[in-house]
Amino acid sequence: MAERKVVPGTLDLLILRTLLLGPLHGHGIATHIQRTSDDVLQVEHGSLYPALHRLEKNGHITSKWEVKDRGREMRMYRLTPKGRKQLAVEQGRWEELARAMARVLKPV
Amino acid sequence: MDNRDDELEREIRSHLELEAEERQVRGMSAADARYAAQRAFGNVTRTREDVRAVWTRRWLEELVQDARYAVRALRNNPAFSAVAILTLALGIAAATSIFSIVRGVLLQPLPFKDADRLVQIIENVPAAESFSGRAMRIASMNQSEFDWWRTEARTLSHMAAIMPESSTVLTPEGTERLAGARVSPALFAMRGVSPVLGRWLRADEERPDASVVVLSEATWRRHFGGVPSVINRTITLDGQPHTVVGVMPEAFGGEAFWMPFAAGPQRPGTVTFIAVTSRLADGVSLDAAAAEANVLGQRLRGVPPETGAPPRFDVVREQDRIVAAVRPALRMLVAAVAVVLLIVCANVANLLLGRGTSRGQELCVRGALGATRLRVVRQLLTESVVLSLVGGVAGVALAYASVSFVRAWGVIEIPARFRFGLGPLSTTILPRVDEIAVDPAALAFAVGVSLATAVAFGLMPALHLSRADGEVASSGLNIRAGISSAHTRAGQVLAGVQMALATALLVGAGLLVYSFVNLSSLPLGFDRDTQIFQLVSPGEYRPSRKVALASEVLERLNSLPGVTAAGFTNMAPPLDPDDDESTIVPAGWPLVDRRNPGEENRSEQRDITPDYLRALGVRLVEGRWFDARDTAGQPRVMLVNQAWVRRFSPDRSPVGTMASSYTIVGVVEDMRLRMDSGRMPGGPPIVEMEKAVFMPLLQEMPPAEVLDRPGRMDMGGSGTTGGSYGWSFVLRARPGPLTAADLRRVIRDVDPGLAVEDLTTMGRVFSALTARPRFYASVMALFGAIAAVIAAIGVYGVLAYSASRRTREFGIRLALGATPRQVLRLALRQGVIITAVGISAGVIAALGLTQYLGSMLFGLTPLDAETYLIVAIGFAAVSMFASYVPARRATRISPIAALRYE
Repeated sequence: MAERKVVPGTLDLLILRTLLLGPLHGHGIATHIQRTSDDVLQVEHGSLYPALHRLEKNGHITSKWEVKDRGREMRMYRLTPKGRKQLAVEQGRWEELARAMARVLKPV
Repeated sequence: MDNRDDELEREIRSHLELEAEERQVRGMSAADARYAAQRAFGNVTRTREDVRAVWTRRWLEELVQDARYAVRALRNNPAFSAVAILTLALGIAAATSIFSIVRGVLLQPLPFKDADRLVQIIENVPAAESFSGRAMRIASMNQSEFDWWRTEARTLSHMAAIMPESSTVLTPEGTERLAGARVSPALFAMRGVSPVLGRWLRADEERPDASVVVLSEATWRRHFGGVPSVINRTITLDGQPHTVVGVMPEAFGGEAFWMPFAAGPQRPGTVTFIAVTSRLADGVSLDAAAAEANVLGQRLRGVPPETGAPPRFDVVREQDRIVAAVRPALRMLVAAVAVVLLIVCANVANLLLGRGTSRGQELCVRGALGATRLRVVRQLLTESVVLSLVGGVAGVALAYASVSFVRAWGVIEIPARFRFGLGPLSTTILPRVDEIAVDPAALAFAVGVSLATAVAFGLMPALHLSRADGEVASSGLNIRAGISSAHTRAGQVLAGVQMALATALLVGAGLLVYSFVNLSSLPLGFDRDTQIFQLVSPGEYRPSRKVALASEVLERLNSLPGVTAAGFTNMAPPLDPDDDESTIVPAGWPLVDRRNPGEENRSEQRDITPDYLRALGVRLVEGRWFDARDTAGQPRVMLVNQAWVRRFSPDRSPVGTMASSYTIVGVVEDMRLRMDSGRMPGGPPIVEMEKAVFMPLLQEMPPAEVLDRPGRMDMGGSGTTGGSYGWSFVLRARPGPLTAADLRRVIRDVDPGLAVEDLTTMGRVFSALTARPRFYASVMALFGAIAAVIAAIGVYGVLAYSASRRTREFGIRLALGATPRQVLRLALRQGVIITAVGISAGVIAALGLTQYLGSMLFGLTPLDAETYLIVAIGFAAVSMFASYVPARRATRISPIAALRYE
């Protein structure tokens, strides 16, 4: 199994993209990223939290404590309209980068 | 903040639980699942830190951390911190208080409108014309010349006379004696202070019969209930009705009341001098005014100035004149405090250097663990700032305390009678002491200097560190060696400079202290325990009644239990600045001896009651005291003192011989009757042992019909019948039974109109007159002591540091067979060099600097060898002790321990 750390600077993008699907707690975000990338992208769970708090401070996401299944209280994060715009910007930037990489790396 | 921490904690916990649950579902054991969850999460603490860093701005948190660490570091090293903080606090407090005082006294303008335009005319009277035979500098003006000057002077826009006058005032509560003044109405325009109530004196009230008075706010509140209806009320001053026209605020002046001054007729044979203050006309310079004063003065005096002599008239700013007496002393204190501040800075620098060096290793370890250079510099900076802030706060508190101390302590308790001996505005050690406040600029300066020093020298280790940055941190040994040699040199120089400065300061302080000891142990010729007071009779009493009342009081005092002797005079009490001189010479002597300048034939003269001198504790050398024989109509007799005998009859006893029209009946010991107020500014008001003659008061007093003759002047100065300032009583009693209250009761019993003023002892008068030299000597001694202690600490620090650095070397020497004595000598050598060089340099500096103290010294010269020797030897001993302690410790260590030390 090939495990990869997320590319630096892309964690915010991954979080925002995950939250586009609906509100989720920290653990849910981590497992979602891992699963959807077929376990290629390994997020060290702890590193998620500074990113989440920074996004919240910047107003891209909000958080709220909610009682979830089996009575567990979880802190749920959801995307704000500002976050949605930020997602579009960052996704565009990433795709540009990916295209550029692809062009450089294509077989001669 | 805590709330946010709690939430984060919950969030992380729920995350870990959820992860563990999921893994358990997949078949892990509970313990394994929990472990795996934690591994997937990573370092929880770091996550927490990182999240917190998102919340707060990082540098702020690090600053708090640095500060906390700095405080902890300072607390861990209490000796270093205490010395550094105390040093800083003392330096800041000393500098701030002295600079505040200087600013308040010398630099701040007087609190009047156009204060810098107010001037005084001063006349330099050459010895040949002076009535006393001495050259004199007279700041007051003959009252008969005042109007002429005022009319003629073009460069002066206003001139105002001020003549102190005490009056018995009938207040609703009873009789009070108030110290007021007769002044020219122009004073109001010159000072520009508005009345609280009513109006100021009008120009047309400048006549003897105006009968109007302006009260001070204090008088108005204390004696007239502070009610507005006082305006236009008639009050009785010395038996005469006066109309109150206004009330002036405290800022106008310290007098209790003001009445219009009008030049009156002179008493035949006397000259009344008045203080005059003038305002320069707009656009006129001091020089122009002085030039005009000399032109006018020559017209008035009719004598051309001697060629080459300084101009006869000077015009000086009032403010300069007020502070002239203290300016040299204040300059000295500023110089001294600057030295203290330098020593403080040197010491703090030294302490920080030593500390920084011993921390080289710690800083290297920090660097190795990933602290950036910037971070280390910031840490050092924070420590220095914390240190100087704590020192600064302590210094500020100390500065406020010492300024309020000077304010409270600076007031000289001295009867009004003696004040003029201390110079203008002289009820305080420093003029305008009540205006002194901690000066923010001075405070900022002192704190700033110490902060700058602390920061500069606190950062030195960081510089060394960066130089050694390339080296491997663990070889901290090399780095230490590199830093330490640089530090040792710097430290030695700093310690030597401290020693030199402190030595110079101690010499100055020593000279002043010796001078004060000389001054206070000066033989006065009379007993310091003798009580004195002024007996004042209401101005409206007939002169013969005043004499009768004084005699009756004397009789009653003599009959009191405990009283051993009492007497009075109608002239100045001992130590008074006024002279009551006369020329009483044996037949054949000239009245004025012009051939021998400096020798004169005038003597102090006092008319006294028979027991007056005995009450003062003066001993009879030969002959007899006055007694019941010596009354009016009998042959005129007198007593002379030994100084008089030395001058006029050195070879044989004068008793029984005649001088002028008196028969000498006895010789008494010398005493200091008069203060010499003409000495150099800033100097102690030293009293001279002068020739003196004493006459029986009752024999000299004219008969009642002459005394009471209408038109006979009896006001101001030393009137024959104790006019407005009263009779000067002296009283000797066994200690204990007689209290001031008893005295007052006895005197009130004789006549309820009589008042007792200025009840005190001669000792207290003398100590008040020497209060200024005492103040300077105390402050300088304090500065000297502070400087010496700080400098000794500096030497100790250098020696202790170098001894600890050379522990290994000493250990090897001891192991190789050196005796502890040899090692001790080696360790001491540095201290000896610093001490010798420092003290020598200090003595040389002192030789040059102390000449400025000349005018303030009494009974010794600025080159007093004894003082230099005592300071040098004493300070060397202190410094050697400070060196010996660490050196001794270095030799006590066992060789094994020493070798393992590093």
